[in-house]
Amino acid sequence: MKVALLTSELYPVFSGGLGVAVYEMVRHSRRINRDVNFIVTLPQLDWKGDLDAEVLEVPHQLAFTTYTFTREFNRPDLDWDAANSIKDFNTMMAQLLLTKEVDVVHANDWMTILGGMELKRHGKRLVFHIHSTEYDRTNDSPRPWVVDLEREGIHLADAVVTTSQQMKQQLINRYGADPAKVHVVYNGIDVKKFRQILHIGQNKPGEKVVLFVGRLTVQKGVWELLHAARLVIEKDPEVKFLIVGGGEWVKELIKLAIDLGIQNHVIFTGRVSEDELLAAYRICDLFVMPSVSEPFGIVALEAMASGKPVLVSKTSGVSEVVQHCLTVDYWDTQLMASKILEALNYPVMAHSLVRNGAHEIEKLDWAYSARKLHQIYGRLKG
Amino acid sequence: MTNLAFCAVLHQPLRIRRYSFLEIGDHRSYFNDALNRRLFERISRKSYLPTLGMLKDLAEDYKDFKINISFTGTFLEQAEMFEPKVIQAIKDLNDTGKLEIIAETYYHSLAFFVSESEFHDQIKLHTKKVNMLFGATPKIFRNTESLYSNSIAQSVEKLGFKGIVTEGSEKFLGWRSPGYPYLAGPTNMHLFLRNYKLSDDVAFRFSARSWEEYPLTADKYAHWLSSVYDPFVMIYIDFETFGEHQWPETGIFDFLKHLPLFVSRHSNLKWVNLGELTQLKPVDRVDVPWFVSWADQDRDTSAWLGNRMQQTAFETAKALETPVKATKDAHLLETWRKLMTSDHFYYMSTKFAGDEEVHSYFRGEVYDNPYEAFANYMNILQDFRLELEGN
Repeated sequence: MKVALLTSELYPVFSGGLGVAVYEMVRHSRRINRDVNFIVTLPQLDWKGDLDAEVLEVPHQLAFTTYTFTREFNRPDLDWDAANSIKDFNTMMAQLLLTKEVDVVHANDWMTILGGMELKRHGKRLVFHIHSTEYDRTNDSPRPWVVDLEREGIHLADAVVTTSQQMKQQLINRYGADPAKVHVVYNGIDVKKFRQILHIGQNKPGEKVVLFVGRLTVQKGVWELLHAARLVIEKDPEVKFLIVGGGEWVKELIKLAIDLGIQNHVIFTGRVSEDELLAAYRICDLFVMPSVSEPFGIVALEAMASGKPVLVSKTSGVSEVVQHCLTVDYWDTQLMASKILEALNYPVMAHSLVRNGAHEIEKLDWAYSARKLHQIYGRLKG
Repeated sequence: MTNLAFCAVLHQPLRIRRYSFLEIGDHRSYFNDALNRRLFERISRKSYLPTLGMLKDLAEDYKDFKINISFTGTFLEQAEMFEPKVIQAIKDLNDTGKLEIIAETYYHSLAFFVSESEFHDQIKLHTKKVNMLFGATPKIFRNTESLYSNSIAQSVEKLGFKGIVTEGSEKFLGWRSPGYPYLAGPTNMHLFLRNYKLSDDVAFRFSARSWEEYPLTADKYAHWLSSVYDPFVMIYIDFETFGEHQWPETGIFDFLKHLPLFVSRHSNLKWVNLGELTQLKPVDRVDVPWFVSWADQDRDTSAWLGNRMQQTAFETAKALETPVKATKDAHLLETWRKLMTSDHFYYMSTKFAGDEEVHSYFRGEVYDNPYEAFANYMNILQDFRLELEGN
């Protein structure tokens, strides 16, 4: 079977959860069944990486990434440029793929769905994989034309895949998706990659580090985290907050830290390399993912695999599959502060979380996610 | 002749409220009165009041019918506070002369693991309360969740009890049947063992459609009881089985209502109060050198003290016994004892598989997960310790 996998990003060239998910699913697909072959189709990224698949770069550089695009949502002129750029990319992609033998087209998120739909009109079977919706990315201020595009794709696709039950419910409620064709495929974790760092080093005695990893956007809940941080630091000035990631909100968040008077306790690293990320996981005492909206949240699994206790918001997809984590409502900054302090002050609990969590995430292998995708491909091919 | 001892236990946890780490040192109230009231009122309406009423009717309608009940002091206090009609209903049942009250620890606690004096104090408190409310003095003792061992039996004998109750587990019975009277380890007290199979048929399997015996009727159950052929059979279940764990829709009230009728059709069955069984001559001594209970599949102490969080929480609380008692402050002592209630530790269990279902059924009313249960408890304990130090 030949699957054309359409994506706008691919690990390890800088990517968010989407790029990691696509990469890992292809990698593990090939391991469990070599009869499924992939053509991974990308915009021009100068992608260099190791993947057992044909990687096809469409000779078109996107004017925007899905992230920079979101920031400019109040500028219609940029919307126009972006729309054209995406349209061109998708048209070229569809033309290229029409020359190839393909059984199933697997489009990931809205930026590749135009191409997916075009191929569907030429008789290909279409899977639309939604890692996040326009509502998730824009803190509920979506651009109508992107939502329309997503809705059209959802209705036209033969199968829709998404990352959690919460997401599935959203697709049904907001997009009118047919529940029978929406499948939940949870993301996974490559435990080995992170476990290697478990025994390498320890933190400075006395100092406690709370880690956040993610893009600095409204929906990641960093604003809420900093308010909780103020309460934590009032109680225990030895606590440091390490904020890893870049994004359009950096300036606002630094200003907020200063306004809250906690600037000496919060470190903004900006974007970091993978090695630096692994180091951040290593030195932290608690990982926090306070997202307002989080279709899945792979970073929480990475932190667990690194042997760290995690606190995640109840609105995250990952909280559906992981029991051995702390949970909180993102808006409840008082409780968030309390739970951060509890995790830092009750080592017995932190150890229990880590030990039980380690067993739990072993079951969340990417191979399991890939197997579910194969079932969906198989059913479509008939 | 098979003596039929039908027993049920009444207990409600005294749930603590969400106490933030940020509130440590503020000395706010620890207990979630609103939630405790809401749950007590609901369960009274669904289970306690209708069941107690039905038992009283049965006691009046069938002259041979008898029943045994144990309750915790924690339960009685909440009944007095939230739903006094429940106390009245127990009094009414008691007035029929068919009820025997079984002793427990006042605070549904693991007090035996704290100190013998604390264990004895809690049992005496319970007896005093039962005496005051119902004019009865229990002769038979059942420890929290049927926790038992030789050492517990020895300690209980010192208080003058005639018998003690625990789980009829093969682990120490071996080939012996739970339906015979035994001596409790090194003591001269009777040891009465629960027939867990026939008990769980009602308490757990009653509404399980996947069970091959489903549906369980009073007729069928009376047949099973009459085919036991042992000197006695002791059924011991949660009182909330009637109407709360098993909803009215399952037919559990019809089952209870008709049980005496069908039992009366078997001439070899006779309802008894547990105390009457002390007239039977013990056939053997049963040795239980380790701790057993009726909780979880393990039937030991692991439901409360199985993981390191539970052990840490319990040990931290236990260590406060001496400082608390040194203050001679009745309020602090009462608060500490309430914090020693076994339910707090039960919520912190991280067991997997079958047991997790039961733990989360009870925990779900209060916490999202065992970690939250632990952290919240520790926050309160820290605050309590600060209050002690300031005293």
